[in-house]
Amino acid sequence: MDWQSVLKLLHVVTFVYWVGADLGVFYSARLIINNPQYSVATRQVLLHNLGIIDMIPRYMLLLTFPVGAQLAAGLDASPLTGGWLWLIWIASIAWIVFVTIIHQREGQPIAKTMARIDLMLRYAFLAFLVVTAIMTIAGGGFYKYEWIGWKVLGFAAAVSCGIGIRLSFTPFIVGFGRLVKEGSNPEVEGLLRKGLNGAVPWVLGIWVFAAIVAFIGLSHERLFGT
Amino acid sequence: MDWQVFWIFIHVALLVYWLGADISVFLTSLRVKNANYSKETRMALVKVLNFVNWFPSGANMFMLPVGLMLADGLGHSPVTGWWLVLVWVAAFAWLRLIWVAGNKRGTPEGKRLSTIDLYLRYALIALLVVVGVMSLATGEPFTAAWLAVKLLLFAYVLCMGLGIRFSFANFGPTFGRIMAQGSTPELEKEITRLTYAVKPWVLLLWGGLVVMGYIGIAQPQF
Repeated sequence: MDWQSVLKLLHVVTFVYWVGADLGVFYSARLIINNPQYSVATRQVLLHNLGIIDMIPRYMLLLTFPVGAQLAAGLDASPLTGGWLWLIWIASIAWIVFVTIIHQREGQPIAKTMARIDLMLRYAFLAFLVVTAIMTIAGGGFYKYEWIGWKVLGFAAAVSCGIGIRLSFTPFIVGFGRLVKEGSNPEVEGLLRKGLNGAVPWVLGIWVFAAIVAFIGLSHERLFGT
Repeated sequence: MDWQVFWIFIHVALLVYWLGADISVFLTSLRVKNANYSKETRMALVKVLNFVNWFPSGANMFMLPVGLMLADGLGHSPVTGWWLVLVWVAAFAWLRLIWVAGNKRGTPEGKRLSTIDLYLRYALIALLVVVGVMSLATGEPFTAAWLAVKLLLFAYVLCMGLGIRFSFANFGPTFGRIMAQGSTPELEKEITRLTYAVKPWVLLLWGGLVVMGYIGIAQPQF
């Protein structure tokens, strides 16, 4: 078995499920805001369904980095080897468990606290990605090849868009909470629309950056010669 | 512009909209069988299902033409030049056919187009098996063994697609009866049975796509 190829496949699969599953999420959200005539119960089920599908892109975002780091180590192109790789895997799996708990406890105060911690972790992760990418691209080394630097930078941009979605989507969450309590009214519908429309550019951003990152991964030998 | 890179990317993008979108269809279909939901809720879920399902349907139409572009670029394929143009025209025509068949579902015209689509699939599977086996045995017309295995796997994936189609065929009419007449234990039992019956086919199809992905990446010697 060619393990480097297996890892490449896993890396592709994380991209496939990240972007592909997003479609169902996006369409369900559109259905919620475009159908104010739906009962609150129907819209709740749609949101619940959306939330479950949305876990897949969330997991994939957290898995694609350890798989990529493992691949880079296999190419002898990364300082993250041995114990560091173990640490990355353990941290990623722990993070996946963490976001699962946030999802399961949605609506509870503990989930809010955990979501804040998750956001802080994302900022820290983002900083790590940007610094290592720029070091690599500027020639200061971290990763051996420039294309890995560009990939990591593109990935950082996608992670930023994910944060952008979370922040811009807030009116939707607030609006939905009010919808459950008050029922549909123009103000509530406005909040739902504002939340989703605000998130659209960030969603498109994720798709574009994820595609760029994938493109570099698939074509680095031809584009960069390494 | 390096076209080989472009086609590799499109090949992967098709997998995104096939395998990646399919998970949304699968998870949503599990929810539709919930008899406690109102008709409106279940209809809304079916709407999600129907919309997202267009992406895997479309992606599987173009997987072969894009794969043939790649094989041509590698010099492993006899399908070149105008033959490739023909393959593309056929793929677009087929997409048009399933689009119209889908929109006319439940009408005699929809049924007729769906039957044509079915026979086309049988023909394509037969062609892929013959060409794949010949290529594996003789090194012609496709000159790389891994590519021949991919063709055979694509035939397998199409067969799993037929398995989904046949095992799930009764879902639409049964669901329609629930919407028209209301829920009954018998109808709900049938919906649940169908949802479970389709599962193995879906999982086997996904497995086939993943193995195809591996072979495309590793290009192993057989």
